[in-house]
Amino acid sequence: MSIHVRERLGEYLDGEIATEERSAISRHLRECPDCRRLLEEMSAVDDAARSLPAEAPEGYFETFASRVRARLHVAPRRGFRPPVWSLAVAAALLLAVITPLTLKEHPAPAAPSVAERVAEPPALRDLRPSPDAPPVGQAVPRTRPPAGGGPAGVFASPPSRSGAALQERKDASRNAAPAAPEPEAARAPAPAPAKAQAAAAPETAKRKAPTAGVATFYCDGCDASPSPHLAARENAEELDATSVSTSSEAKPRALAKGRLVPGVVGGTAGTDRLAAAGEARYRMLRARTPASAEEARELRREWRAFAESALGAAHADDARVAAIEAAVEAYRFSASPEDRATATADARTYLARSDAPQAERVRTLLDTLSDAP
Amino acid sequence: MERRSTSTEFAPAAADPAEGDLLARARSGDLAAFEEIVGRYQRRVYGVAYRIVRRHDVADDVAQETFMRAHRALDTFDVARPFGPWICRIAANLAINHVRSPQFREEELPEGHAEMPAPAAGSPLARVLDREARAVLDAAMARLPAEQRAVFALRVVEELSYKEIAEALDISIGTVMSRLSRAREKLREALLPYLGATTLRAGGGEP
Repeated sequence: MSIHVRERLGEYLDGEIATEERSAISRHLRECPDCRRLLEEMSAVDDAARSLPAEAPEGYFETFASRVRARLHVAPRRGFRPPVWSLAVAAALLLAVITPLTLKEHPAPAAPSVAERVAEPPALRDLRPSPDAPPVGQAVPRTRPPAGGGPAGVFASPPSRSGAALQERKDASRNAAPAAPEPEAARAPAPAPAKAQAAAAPETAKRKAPTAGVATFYCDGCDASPSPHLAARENAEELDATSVSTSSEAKPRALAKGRLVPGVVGGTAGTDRLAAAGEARYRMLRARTPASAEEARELRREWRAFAESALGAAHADDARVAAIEAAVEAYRFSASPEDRATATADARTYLARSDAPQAERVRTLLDTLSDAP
Repeated sequence: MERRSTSTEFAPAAADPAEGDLLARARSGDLAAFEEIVGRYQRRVYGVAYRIVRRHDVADDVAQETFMRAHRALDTFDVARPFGPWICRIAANLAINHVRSPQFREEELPEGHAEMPAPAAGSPLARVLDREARAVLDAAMARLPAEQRAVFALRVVEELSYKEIAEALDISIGTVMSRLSRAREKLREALLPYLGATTLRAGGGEP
């Protein structure tokens, strides 16, 4: 009997014994000094363990929450969550609609294929202001510069932003403006219509669209962003919206009222659907939590594909970093040298980019992979 | 020195409407609400992480990563469930993964701490013994396999139930119990010489 009780003392101590058994054990303890002493020792060990501190440096916790929050800003939470059905609809419409729509609206636009590896959604290239106008922030790496001196992709700015950072990027992209020739021949005609459009009265697209690429969703019938921090960002970037002119054939923002739409500058329905679908995919990938090395590798592949697609233009930088994180994750699961090499290479590639706003974070990831203490 | 908080924080979120409200706001993108949640759970998350990985730099990394993941996964979290065990689960798994990754070499872990917190009360001898006892306990903790340490920390310090621990670590309750009893046995053996001292019994002289 006492051996039987000895084995159950841990459960007894933890309160995980059913009531009747519990009283039987209590009774035994009253009579058995050995068991009693053992229980006291176990309890003492527990107490001592509880009193061992989880050491942290002075002031660590005072700043912890704000440090976490700062990291969240770099990879912001989507501001407003539209009903799932509207995203599914947007995605389906995108496939059905964007190609003909784009071709119809712009006589000499870029090839409309969503699968194109372009710096920005095809329909938007024609919306770029002329080279004279100050370009809006460019997130897209200068390895994929816009064609014919057109300024950077309006829609490709990365999520992180302060007015200052945006200004920096604007300056930088202005310098990079004399761009390398774009591989797609379809882009060639783009500058002409772009200029023509820029000449056209700019805009009523002072639509305080919260900027390029940041998906903000509008509630029915009003233009206000429901998310406070995105709204703040909007204010910081309102000036950018005015420098973007829309097509002279500006389509009415048919989607603006009565539906959840992404608040992307420019007003073509095709653009909005592309952005909505991109947003949906981004959110879906973000929600994934790989539970194995293989899942993590798969996720990495998907993030990389997303980063390079038109769909992912608005979140390209985030997607790149997320791919690196997934690679690290795969390594954590598998502990294989291949996974580690992959993650290291990914991180180094990112750090070598001329446009790497999250370099700090990636450097941290790289450090956790390295052997050096 | 931190005294971990007790079971009230494990009450279901539904029983704490203020927290349920915070969580709902955080889910819809309110960063300030999420920051508030971080503030409420940071010590616990750090504590879980630290007790498993036993290095501040790694624990910091795990703690931050835990909240990042929790934020991303907030959509999938049912606010009627208690938040504490959920976030401890994320922290414990991340911490164990870290420990398992090959470059995290256990030999590099400091076996004990130079500065053991000394209790306020007791004779000088008692204080010395107590400090020594803690150092021994700490060293014994370091020698435990990470999985046993994780179960022990989640049960004894975080006060999760066997069932919650089993779910958190994706193991059976039987495995929880066996890891726990092995951990306890090793720690008890290490502390045996000191277990007669009253200072230990008093719960460590925590001010």
